[in-house]
Amino acid sequence: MRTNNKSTLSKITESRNFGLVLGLIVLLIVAAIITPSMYSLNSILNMLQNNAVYGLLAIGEMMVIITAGIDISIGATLSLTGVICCRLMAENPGVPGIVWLVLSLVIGALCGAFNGLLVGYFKMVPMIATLGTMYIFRGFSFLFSGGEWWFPHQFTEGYMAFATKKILGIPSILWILIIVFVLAILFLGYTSKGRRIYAIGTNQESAQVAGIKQPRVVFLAMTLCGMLAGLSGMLYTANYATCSYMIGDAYEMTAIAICILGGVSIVGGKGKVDGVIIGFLMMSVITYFISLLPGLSVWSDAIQGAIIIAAVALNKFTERSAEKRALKERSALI
Amino acid sequence: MSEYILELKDVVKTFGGVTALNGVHFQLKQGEIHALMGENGAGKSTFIKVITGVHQPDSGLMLLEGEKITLRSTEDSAKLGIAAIYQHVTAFPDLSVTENIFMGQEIKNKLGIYNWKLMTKRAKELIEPLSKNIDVSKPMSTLSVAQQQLVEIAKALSRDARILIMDEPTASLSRRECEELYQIAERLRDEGVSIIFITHKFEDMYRLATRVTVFRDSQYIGCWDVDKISNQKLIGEMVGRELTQMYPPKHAKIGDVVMKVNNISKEGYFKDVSFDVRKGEILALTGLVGAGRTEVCQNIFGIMTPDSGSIELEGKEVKIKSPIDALKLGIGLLPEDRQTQGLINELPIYQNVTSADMSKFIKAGKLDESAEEAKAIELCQKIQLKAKDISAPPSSLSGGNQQKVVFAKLLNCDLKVLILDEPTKGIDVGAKYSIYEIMNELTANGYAIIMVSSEMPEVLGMADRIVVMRNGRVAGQFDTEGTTQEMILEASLKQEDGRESES
Repeated sequence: MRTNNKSTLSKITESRNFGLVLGLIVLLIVAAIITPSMYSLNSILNMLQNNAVYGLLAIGEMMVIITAGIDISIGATLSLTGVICCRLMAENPGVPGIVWLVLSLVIGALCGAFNGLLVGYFKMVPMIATLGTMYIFRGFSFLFSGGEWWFPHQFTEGYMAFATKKILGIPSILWILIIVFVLAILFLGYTSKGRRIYAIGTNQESAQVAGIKQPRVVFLAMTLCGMLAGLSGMLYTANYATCSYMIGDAYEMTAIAICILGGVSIVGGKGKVDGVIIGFLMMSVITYFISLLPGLSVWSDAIQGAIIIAAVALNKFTERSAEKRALKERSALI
Repeated sequence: MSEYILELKDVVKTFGGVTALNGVHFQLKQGEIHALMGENGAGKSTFIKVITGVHQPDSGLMLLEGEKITLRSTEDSAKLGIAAIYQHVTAFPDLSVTENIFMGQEIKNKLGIYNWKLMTKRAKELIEPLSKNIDVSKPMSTLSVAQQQLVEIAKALSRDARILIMDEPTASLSRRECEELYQIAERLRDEGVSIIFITHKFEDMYRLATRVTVFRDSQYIGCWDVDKISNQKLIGEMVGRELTQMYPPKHAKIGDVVMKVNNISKEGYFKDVSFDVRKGEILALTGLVGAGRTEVCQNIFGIMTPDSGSIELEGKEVKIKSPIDALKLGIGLLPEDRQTQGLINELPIYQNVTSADMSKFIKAGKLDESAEEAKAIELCQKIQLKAKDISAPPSSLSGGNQQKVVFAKLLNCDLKVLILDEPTKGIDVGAKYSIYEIMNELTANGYAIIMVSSEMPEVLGMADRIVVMRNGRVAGQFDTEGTTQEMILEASLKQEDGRESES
């Protein structure tokens, strides 16, 4: 959709993504000057491969945040799914890998659906409901793992292939990430189910008047979010060929951070897949870049935090100037 | 076929014990613009909601082209070609204009994938005849109120609406925008759409409507041809009633000016507002809803700060930057919504009473609970609170008694000026009387009261002086003595000459 009275160029510079892309480019240039070793195709693919689960989690989290909710249980869902898949895989090495992939989607969807039931139908506050399920899922993960660890020699080729096998030179986990991005763009942009997610997030009252069934939409968004978290659990373990119940700790926070960086409004209604993709790339570059700098890696968390605050401050600033403009327009009427 | 496209006969609608519509009639001719007028609370909003199927009437007939219809939901009315554009636009602010227009009737292929290209094209086709300046890909929130209304009209047209209800569409539009809207309404009428135009402005009515129906106090008063009824007569019909309620006698002595407001302005809300209030006096601040009354009070109380102008308290200029400043200076506010702004339902009644100023109960850094309770009991007696148990939450009380708790809370802070925003809103007649008594008692004790009220009888019955606001400005000041309801209504409705939007 292009405007008729504005040039494409001015449209691009006005968009929030423009700032993000600009930031990303600056970051890449700085990184290139300081640590030229970062720029080999291999290291870039490596970086993306190891961060891919954050991208998956962020897409799911984004859908929940757009409904004006939040899901802080996805790290625990990742852990639970990873543990179940790994244990069953280790016990049944003959089973083809695809089974575990499908299983991870099912377990994740069940976890998400449970969240959706609590938030959508029982009207619990999302933060509290998913705080509870976070402990529940993590607890089950511990029980199911029996405190055990799984190591590379226990992993089957077919299992690991979903993350590490290279197709056209690119690891499968990245192909999966790309497919999820494309599906998310289609779903959120071009289907009525997807658009309803935005509608209930932007104005609940209007959504009611328009006859949108809010519980159902929240349920759907949270189920999809859980499904992606489940998928992440399987792919994470396949990628590193290790697993314990402790995996995925605080990953929900990284996912939320990526959403915020990518311009998803925490109060709901606003957010785009392309923004989240850029946020994901930024986050990946930042962590990777910092890890390459000797002495700076201890600052990694602090720097990530500072960048999030800066991004939100930028948002607030643009919002406030828009508000001021609106008041001025109204003043002309008095 | 009937002469009327829509006809309502003897429609009654009650909410609990409150009658919102009491046997109203309405007749809308095919292709006419019909004005519906009446004071705040006359029943117009409920009336629209009945026509659009949001509310179901308790009794009465609704006829569409002579045939009886029953509407169970907004979907039903939409199917029959009835659409409403509400005063507070009910849109999705973050979604694009296109999406707002097609919400619920999106164009998609068999797989359920949206055809944005076609929707955008259709949206443009719908919007373009209404306005050339609306970019359909922009989010709704970036549009002006006038543009948002046009989008709502486009939405109604996309659903082939035959009956269009417009609820005070010109309330927040500039002159030029009004004129554009008039032209659109006329064009739609010429195309055969029948329009119910709800308005407070006589200008709208004279410019557009051929007939006008008046509601008052939930009742149908009459329907006239616009060119056969005078302005004076119409105001008379809208006000209509005598002062039926009783007001307690006043015994306050009015003294010196306590507070003086000089030319305060707040961008987007009001401009150059000045008035003063004296010791022992009740000053009423009235006007239509949305005229800026509440905002003026919020600026005096420090919830917002005015951009310019000054406030004097007992002859000295004061700076009020927050409600705490205001309370320290002796200015208290009784908010319009006592449920959300006046009371804390999690706390017992007596703690609500003392909550605004607990400093006096603190001895050596510790809260003296018995002193707190004693003071609360004293205050509750003073205002004759009817409560079984003051350690129960305020939600256990009736509306009138809840309001008394908020009054007691104000009395606990040593104040000079009380701002009461709609003090009797949602309170039944009997309880109103005791609120009025409290107000008179307060003025007799030397308080100055600024009362915001939309109820004309209350304004005339209680106030010593009246300030009428209209569209963010003071439209007139009256001494209550010798002032009639008609004079106030005229001041609050009158269109100022030469009011023109700068943009």
